[in-house]
Amino acid sequence: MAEVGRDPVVFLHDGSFEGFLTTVFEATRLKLPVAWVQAAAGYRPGLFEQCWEVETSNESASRVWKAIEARGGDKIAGMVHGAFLSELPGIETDLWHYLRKFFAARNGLQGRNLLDENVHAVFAAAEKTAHEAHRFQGFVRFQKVPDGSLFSVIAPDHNILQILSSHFRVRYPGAKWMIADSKRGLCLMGEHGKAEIVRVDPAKLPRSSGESESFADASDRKFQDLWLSYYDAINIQERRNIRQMARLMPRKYWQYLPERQARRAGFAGAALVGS
Amino acid sequence: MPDLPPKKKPSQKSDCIRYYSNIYYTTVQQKLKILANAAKYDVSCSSSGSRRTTPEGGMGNAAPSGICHSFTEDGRCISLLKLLLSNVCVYDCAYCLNRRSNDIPRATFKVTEIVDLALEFYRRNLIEGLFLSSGVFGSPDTTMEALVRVAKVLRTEHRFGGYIHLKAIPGASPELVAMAGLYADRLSVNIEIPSEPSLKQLAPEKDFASVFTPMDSIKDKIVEAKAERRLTTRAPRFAPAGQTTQLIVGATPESDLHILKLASGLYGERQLKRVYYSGYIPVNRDNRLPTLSRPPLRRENRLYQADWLMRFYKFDVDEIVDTAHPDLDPDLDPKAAWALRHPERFPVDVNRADYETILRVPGIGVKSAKLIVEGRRHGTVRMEHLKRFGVALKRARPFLYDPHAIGTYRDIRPDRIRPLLAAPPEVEQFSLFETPSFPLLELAHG
Repeated sequence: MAEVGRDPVVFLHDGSFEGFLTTVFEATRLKLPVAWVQAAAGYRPGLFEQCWEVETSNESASRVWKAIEARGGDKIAGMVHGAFLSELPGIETDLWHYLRKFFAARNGLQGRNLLDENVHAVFAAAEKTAHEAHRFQGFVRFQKVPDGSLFSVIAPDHNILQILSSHFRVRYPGAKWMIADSKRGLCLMGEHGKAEIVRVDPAKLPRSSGESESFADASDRKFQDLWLSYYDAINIQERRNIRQMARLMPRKYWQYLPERQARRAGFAGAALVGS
Repeated sequence: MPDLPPKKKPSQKSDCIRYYSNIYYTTVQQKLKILANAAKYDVSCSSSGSRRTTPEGGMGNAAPSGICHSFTEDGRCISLLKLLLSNVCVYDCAYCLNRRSNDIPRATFKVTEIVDLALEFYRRNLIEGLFLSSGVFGSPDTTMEALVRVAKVLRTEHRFGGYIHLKAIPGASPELVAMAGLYADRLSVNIEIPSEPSLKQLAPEKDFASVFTPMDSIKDKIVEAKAERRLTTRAPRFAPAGQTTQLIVGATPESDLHILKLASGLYGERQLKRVYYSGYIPVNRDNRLPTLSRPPLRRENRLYQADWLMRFYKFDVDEIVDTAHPDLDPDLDPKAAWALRHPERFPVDVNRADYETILRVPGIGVKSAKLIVEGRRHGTVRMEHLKRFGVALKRARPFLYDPHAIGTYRDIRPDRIRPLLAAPPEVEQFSLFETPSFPLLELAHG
C-alpha cells in the first residue's frame, strides 16, 4: 500500500452502510484528507492515488450512527441512510462532506442548509430513494407459490428493500412473504410481522412477470387473469394518454408488472404505437 | 365524433322486466368486466387521508399518503378495486351508462364474490382496498344495505384493515348511511350535474335535495365523531378520510365560475375532502346532451388546477374567476392567469417576501416554496438554488426579482410574459387507433 501522507486518500468500504460509517469514523479519527469515498468492489486503482481499504467495524459504525441520531434526530439520520441506499454514483463522497460539515458546525442546523451543494445532494438522493420506495409500495406484485407464501420480484434503481420492510411487515402480519431484488441479489423475507434481508443468486430469479408465473401456484392463475381483466375494464378509452401513464409508471418498471407485459395478445402494438 | 351504433328497437316489455331480462352474466370474470367498466366513470381513486392500523389477526392497513398500484392507459391511477355492486338501476339519468332505458348487459355481484375479490387482490398487493358503488336496484335502502353488508363482512368477518370507500345512495335511510361510515374510510355522494335546473332536465327523478341531504348528514356525523374522539380515543371513527363528490364538466352549460363557486362552498361549509371534476364523455345518445368530438380534458385540467389553488395555495375562489372572467383561460394555468391580471403584486424577491407571497409565483409549488423559506435561513437564495429546489424557472423567472441576477426586472410586462406561459391551443387529435368504440358492445360480444 502506498504511504499515507499529505495527499488526499481514496477511502474504500465494503459496500455496506456499516462499512461506510466505519470509513467516516476512520477518516475522522486519522484526520486524513479525503479524495473520495466509494465501495471497494467498483474501485480501479489510479496511478497517482493513495487508497485505504477500511475494515468494517460494527462498533465504530454504531458510534457514528448514534452521533448522527443524537445531533440530527430521526429526520437527518433517515436522510443519511436513505441517501446511502440511493447508490447514486459519488453519493458517499457527498455524504462524507455532508457529515464532516454536520459534525463541525456548532448547531445541527448545518445539516439542513440546502443552499450547500453537498447537503442538497444528500437531500435529493434521499428523496429519490424515498420516492422509489413509495412507488414500490404499490408496484410490488405478489404471487402465491405452492407452499402458500407470497413471492415478488422487483428491479428498483435504488436499494429500497430495507425501507419497504416496515410497510409490508405491518400490512401482512399473518403471511409469509418474499420480495426479491433481482438487480442486487437480495431478498426481503417476512414472516409473523418480522422481516430480514438475505442474499440470493440473481441468476435464479425470474427476469419478467411472465417467467415468474412458473414459480406460482396453479390456483394463482385465476387471480392473475381477473387482475388483467380488471386492468383493461377500468381504462377509459376516450381518455387514452399513454405518455401520462408512462410518466407515472415508467417503462423501466414494466418488466415485473403483468398488466404491462407485451405477451398479451393485441396489447403490445396498441400500447406502444399509440403513444 | 365517432358514430354511436344505432340504437336497438325499443323493447315492448315494461322497463321493470326489461332490466332484469337483459343478457345476464354469471361468472365472476364476466361480472368483473361489466361492473368495473360501469364504475370507471367515477373518477375518485384516492386511498389517502386515513391512518388505519392492521387489526389483530387480520390483514391490511391504510397509509395516510395513499398508494397507487398501477396506472391505466388513460394515465389514471389504480389504487382501489373500483366496482359497482350492480349496474341494474331504477333511474334513467341521461348522462349515465347504466340508465334504465339502456339495453346493456346487466350483472350483480354476490357479497361473497366482492369480498373474495377484494381480499385476494389485496393479498397480492394489487390494490389499497375497495371502492364500492352501485346502481339503485329495488329501493335506495336495499342498495345501501347491500353496500354496507360488503364492508361489514370485510371488516368484521375477515378483519380487513385496508381502505374502503363507499357510495352513499341518495334516498337511503340515515341509519344505513351512519352504519356505512363506521366501516368505511371515506363516503361520497355524487352531485354529477352542477346545477339543479340542468339536473332536473337530465335526471327528472332526482333533485339537489336528494344529494345534499345525505351529504349534510354525513358531515354532521363526521364532525360529531371527531368531537367525541377528542374526549375519548375509544369513540368509534366515522369516515375518517372524510367525504368527496364528483361534478361532470361539459355536459351542461354551467360556467367555470359556477362550478368553482359550488366547489368552494363544498370545501367550506360542507367540509368536503375532495371535489372531483369529470370531463363529460358521451356514453349515451340523447338529444338533451351535447355532442363532443373529444372529452373536455383541458377544461377539466384547468378546473383541477384552480381547485389546487383553493386547497393548497390559499387562493379565494373570487381571485380565480369572477363575473368579468367567468371561465378559466384554456391556454393559461389559472395561477399564471391571476399573476398576469395582477402585475402590481410582482416581481417578488424570494429572499424577502413571505411564504404566502412566494407561493403565488407561477412555477413555484408548495414544496419549493417551503424549501426557499427553509433555505434562506442559511444564506441568500439564488437562481441556481431555485432550480435545485424544483422551481420551474421558465415560468417563474419573469415574476422574480433578484438584484444580483441578470435579466430580472423591477416591473413586469404582462403582454410580454403571456406568450412565454401560454400553452399551445388544444388541437383536434386524430389517431390511427381512434376507432369508433362502444365498449359495452365489445363486452357483450367478447
